[in-house]
Amino acid sequence: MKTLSPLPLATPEAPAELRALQTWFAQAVTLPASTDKAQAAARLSDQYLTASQTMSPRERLDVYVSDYWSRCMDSLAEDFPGLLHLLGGKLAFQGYLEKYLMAYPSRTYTLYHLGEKLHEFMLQNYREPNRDMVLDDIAYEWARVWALIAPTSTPFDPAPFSPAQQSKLAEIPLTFQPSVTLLELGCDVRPLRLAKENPALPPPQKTALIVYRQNHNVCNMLIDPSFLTLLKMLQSGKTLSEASPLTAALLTPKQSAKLLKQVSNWFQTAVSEGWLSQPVF
Amino acid sequence: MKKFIELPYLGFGIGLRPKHFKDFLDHSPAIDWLEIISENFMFDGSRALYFLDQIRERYRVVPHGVSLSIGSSDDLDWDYLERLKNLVARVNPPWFSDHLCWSQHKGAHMHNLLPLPYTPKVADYVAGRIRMVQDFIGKPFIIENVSSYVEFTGSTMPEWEFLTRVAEKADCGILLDVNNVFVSASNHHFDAHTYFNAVPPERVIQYHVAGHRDKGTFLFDSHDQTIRDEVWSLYRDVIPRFGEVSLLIERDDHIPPLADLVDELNIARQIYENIVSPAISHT
Repeated sequence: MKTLSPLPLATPEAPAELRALQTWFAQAVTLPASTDKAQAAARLSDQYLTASQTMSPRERLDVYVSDYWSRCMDSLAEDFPGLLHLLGGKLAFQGYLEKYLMAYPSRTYTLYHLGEKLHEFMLQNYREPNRDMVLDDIAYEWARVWALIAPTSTPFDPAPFSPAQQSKLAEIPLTFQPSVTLLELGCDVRPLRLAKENPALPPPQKTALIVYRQNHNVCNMLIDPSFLTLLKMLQSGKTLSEASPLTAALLTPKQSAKLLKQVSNWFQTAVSEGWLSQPVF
Repeated sequence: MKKFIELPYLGFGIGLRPKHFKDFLDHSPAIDWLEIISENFMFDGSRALYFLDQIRERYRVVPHGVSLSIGSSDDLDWDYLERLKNLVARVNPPWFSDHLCWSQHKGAHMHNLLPLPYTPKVADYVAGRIRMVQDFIGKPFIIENVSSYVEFTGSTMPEWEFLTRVAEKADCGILLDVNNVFVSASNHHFDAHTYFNAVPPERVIQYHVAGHRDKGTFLFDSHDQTIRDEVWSLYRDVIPRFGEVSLLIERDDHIPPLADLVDELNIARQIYENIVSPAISHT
């Protein structure tokens, strides 16, 4: 669908006064009101803005300030409802997310990407006792957003393969659809985002989960931990022939024998669920 | 009314929102055309594109952006424009549109339609950027006036002169948002008719109408409720000046059943026919 376009031209130079005004306005709007910089910027309202018959310059500026923060918070709360519960409700959620947005302001034209760096931020900054569950939840909820917006590659389809190619499938690297995320979690955080208020916390339980898009819907599936290990190896570039024995080696002999029997079934699942892209021979 | 460029008259449309995707496919309601928020359809594999491809087989679709940030002091975002160009190629609209505003600074996005200071220098800067965008996309561009809640001390001209200068210097069309004029006129205490009377009729290609909220000390362009009588009244007033102009109803929050929006659209259609039909019968 890509079309060839002429090379971009240099953009005209912006007037200096426009650049200065936008620098001021952006600071005043996007920094949390409690910060020194935001307060200093707000004090310049009289210099840049006129009053109306009903509002002072500062009050007029505040329309944009509150609109910015409510828009960002609403979007993040929609994408991370489980996190909102885990952090203890709206106020605490806003407290952390304000700091997050200061550290990682939106860098794309759509709000879908707003939570892209949230896991990284909380990994560095969140130290509460439920840290592991919070990080697991963010990983899961971001995987859902990503599954919605990720590009699509050509889906795996064995129909055009020659018999010789089919016999070599286990010997070539298999790639995943970009929407696929493999998750190894300390508990099953999925019910958190569906809860209305004060949900029961999920018990600790190793959880292997795959999040993906199928027929334009976001899906997830609990999978056997050995299957997850195998998929992670495939995702890292190992072939099926390389990954299967490596995965089996991590298990007890009994588990290993079971795994090798199951690989073929799992491969069929990966194909039927649309997790794989068409391989290149 | 001869327009500055020959473009089709699309009639009466609404903004296509995800809530109504299935309604359009299942019932094909009698709506002349649809507008999409461009950015929501700029992901390669999105669910929205899947529906769009089916809906555009039945309806004329026009992309309307919110993140071009044409008034930003940042460089134009060529990755964004490449994606927009692909979307435009996909839906083949008669034009595409965005707002006379800025929303990005030093690479950070504010996800809002922020007003500009109204000066000839800024108008010429914006017009230069519109020309580049229009050339790059290869389709006529129309620019929309935004609602605003501030006025800048550095402005040296009224908004309507700024909009006119931008459109004429860029040689682009105007998407005249009747509700935005109403909201800004109330917030900044000017007469909306002064605004409309100053806008060059030959450049007005499309209208927006939408609902707003009264916040006590100011009006807020919320797009979350039905269109107020005062806005319909303004629409009625401007029809004779601007002639045959495609109209679109915007609704972005508290989105009602599609049938309710069709009812609102019929109000617009009725107003237009009441003004235009008697004139036609006397010619």
